[in-house]
Amino acid sequence: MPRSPTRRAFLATTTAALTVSRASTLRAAQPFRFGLTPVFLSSDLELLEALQKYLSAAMGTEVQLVLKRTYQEITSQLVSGLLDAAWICGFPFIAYRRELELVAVPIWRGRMTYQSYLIVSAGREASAIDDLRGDIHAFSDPDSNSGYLVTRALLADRGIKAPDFFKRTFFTYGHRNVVRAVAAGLAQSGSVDGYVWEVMTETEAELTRQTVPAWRSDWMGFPPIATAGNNAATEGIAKLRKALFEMPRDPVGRDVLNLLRLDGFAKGESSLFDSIARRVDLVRALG
Amino acid sequence: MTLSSFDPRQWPLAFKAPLLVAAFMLVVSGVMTNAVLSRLRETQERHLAAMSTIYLNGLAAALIPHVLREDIWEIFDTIDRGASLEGGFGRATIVVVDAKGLTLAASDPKRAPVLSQQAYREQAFQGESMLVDADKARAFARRALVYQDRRIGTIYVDYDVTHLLRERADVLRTLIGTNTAIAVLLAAFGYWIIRRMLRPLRTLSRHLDLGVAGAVQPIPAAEVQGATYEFRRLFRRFNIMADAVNDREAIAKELANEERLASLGRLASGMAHEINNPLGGLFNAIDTIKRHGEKPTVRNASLDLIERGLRGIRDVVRATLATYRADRDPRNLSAADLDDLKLLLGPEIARRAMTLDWSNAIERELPVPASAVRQIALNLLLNALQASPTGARLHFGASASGDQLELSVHDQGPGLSPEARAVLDGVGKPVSSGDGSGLGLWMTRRLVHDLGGRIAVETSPIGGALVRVTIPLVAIEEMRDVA
Repeated sequence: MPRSPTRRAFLATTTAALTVSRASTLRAAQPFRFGLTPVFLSSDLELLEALQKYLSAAMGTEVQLVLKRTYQEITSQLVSGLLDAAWICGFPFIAYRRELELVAVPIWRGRMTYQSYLIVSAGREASAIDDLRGDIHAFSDPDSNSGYLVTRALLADRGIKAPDFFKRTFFTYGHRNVVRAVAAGLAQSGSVDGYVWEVMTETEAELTRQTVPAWRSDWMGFPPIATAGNNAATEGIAKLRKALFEMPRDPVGRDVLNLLRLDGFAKGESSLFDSIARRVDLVRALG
Repeated sequence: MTLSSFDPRQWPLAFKAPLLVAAFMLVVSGVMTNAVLSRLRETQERHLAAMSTIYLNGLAAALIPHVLREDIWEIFDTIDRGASLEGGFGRATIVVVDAKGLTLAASDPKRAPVLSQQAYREQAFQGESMLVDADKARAFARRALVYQDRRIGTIYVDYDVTHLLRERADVLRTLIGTNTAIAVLLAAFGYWIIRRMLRPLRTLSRHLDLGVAGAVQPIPAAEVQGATYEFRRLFRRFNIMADAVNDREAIAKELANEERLASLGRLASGMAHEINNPLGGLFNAIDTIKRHGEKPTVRNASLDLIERGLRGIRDVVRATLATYRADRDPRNLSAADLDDLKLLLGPEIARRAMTLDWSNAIERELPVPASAVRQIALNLLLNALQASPTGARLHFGASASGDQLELSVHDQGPGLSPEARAVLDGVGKPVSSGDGSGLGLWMTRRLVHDLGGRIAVETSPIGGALVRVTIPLVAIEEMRDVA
């Protein structure tokens, strides 16, 4: 995700809007703070506006969307209670399993799972991670499952650490950025969220066309919406969950889902993330 | 096209002046174009350097934190956006290297992959901060990334300067186009104006040409009025001259007539003697017949004497009349026509105790006008007579050989004066008719010229001048055409 002026513009607009609404409602209630990570396609101002509008309407309360550059910032704010809820990745959900509660899991192509891809530039012959030795490799985020953990686990399985396997690695803090880096040739290969790559084949085909998935992981739990454990039983969370579940039945909600290419949201089970937990263990074992 | 038309000095003014204007414009535009283009190049490069400095300073400020952390993605993201945001200079290619010259990121990573060595770039600069390669339409610049007095990396940028070169080409094209248009317009205008200015000269030239064939035609008043001040003056002068020439021509014709009569006048006293001498004898004879008329021998002898005397008088009168009536009597020349002259000159020759050798070798009628040739011979003989001292010898010769008639007059005088000589053989040259004696020579020249003949003045073997006249024996009309 590019930290383009759109985000700053967005934040500015949101803040301005909030200031106005606060003044008009005479400090009624604190807005519901919903955190977003670059796990999904937050580059789209239209999407963010629609989401904010839908959630505010569906929950009957002011919803503030909070965007951060890294998963780390969102996760720590969520755990510390600065955010009411956040759309995070499976990896931090597992890592902070005891502090977090599952709110909802998105349904993509009828399932609550997704894959991680290793992508290379189009035309390159590669079908396994072993073909990528000595590459300059782009990761998404150190707290991303598909964009970092999966590849690390793959190497840990071979008893290798990433810096020894690749010539050089770097983080782009966004799945879309990984695709950009590989497409531009800045990186020779990258670890990317399969869902993001697939959606981008529809929205930014000229970018994905320059890349090709060399390897796909097994299916893992889709990045979920979580809240802090002590916050899970509040009315706000209940309203959020209801709003998310009812999204496909609302025109604005359908717009949001359409932009995200998602089918809807479901309750989900934490067992969905067991494969991620295994990977965490594998990586930790290597040290 | 003759050889002379390649000599620029002989080209027409109406062509030369516009050509000169065009050539002048060419030189001016050449100098101007050069000056403008070099100024444009300087300005462009100065602006490019200034913009490059501003741009690189901004880029460096944005990049230094990322370079410190060696954050490849952020460096790439920054320069990728910087490369396309960079207005006015086409797309820039940017390479950021670390302190060791290894690529951290490039706007086009395929050409400068991460960790590739870029040290060669530094060498190309050789201390310069900016290089412009007009052939490749690229400008190269670099900027050191300095943090806390430590060089942590360098930015190398090459700008696409195609638009600058296109601007130069546009300016060049515009200049050439404008200057060519101006040159062509000025040349056309110059041609038009020179043609216009020279129009009176063409009029003058046409009228002069007409003047050669016949009488000089004055320029019509309307055309005189229409001309510019200078040419109006010129035309008026020309018309005055034309009138003068025409007057002179008329006078000359009159003179020719008068001169013929004058030559008779100059012979009049001699002829009077010629008539008077036999008259005395005739009266005596009449007396004798009165007194002794009854004697047949005396009567017959007296009548014989009277007859001879009257015949002599008749001959003189006839020759005089022939000379006088020249114009009314156009016919071809025969030997007798020239022999008549001997009769006319006889008394004067005798009076001055001179000798005239007469050798007339003409045997047939010649196709030349008798009166004109008689007048020529008479004038030359009178001139020789006048120039020679008492008791001198003159020689007249006339012969027809093949296609020309030759007359020659020898005398024992002091020779012809340069003026007289010029009058005679300077055909076509303007001469003043001068004193009375010159008039005869001047008329002679005109007559010879009219007949298409030539006059040569030499020294005679008998001591004085020899004037030789040759007249072609062809139809006179034809000769006029050739002349």
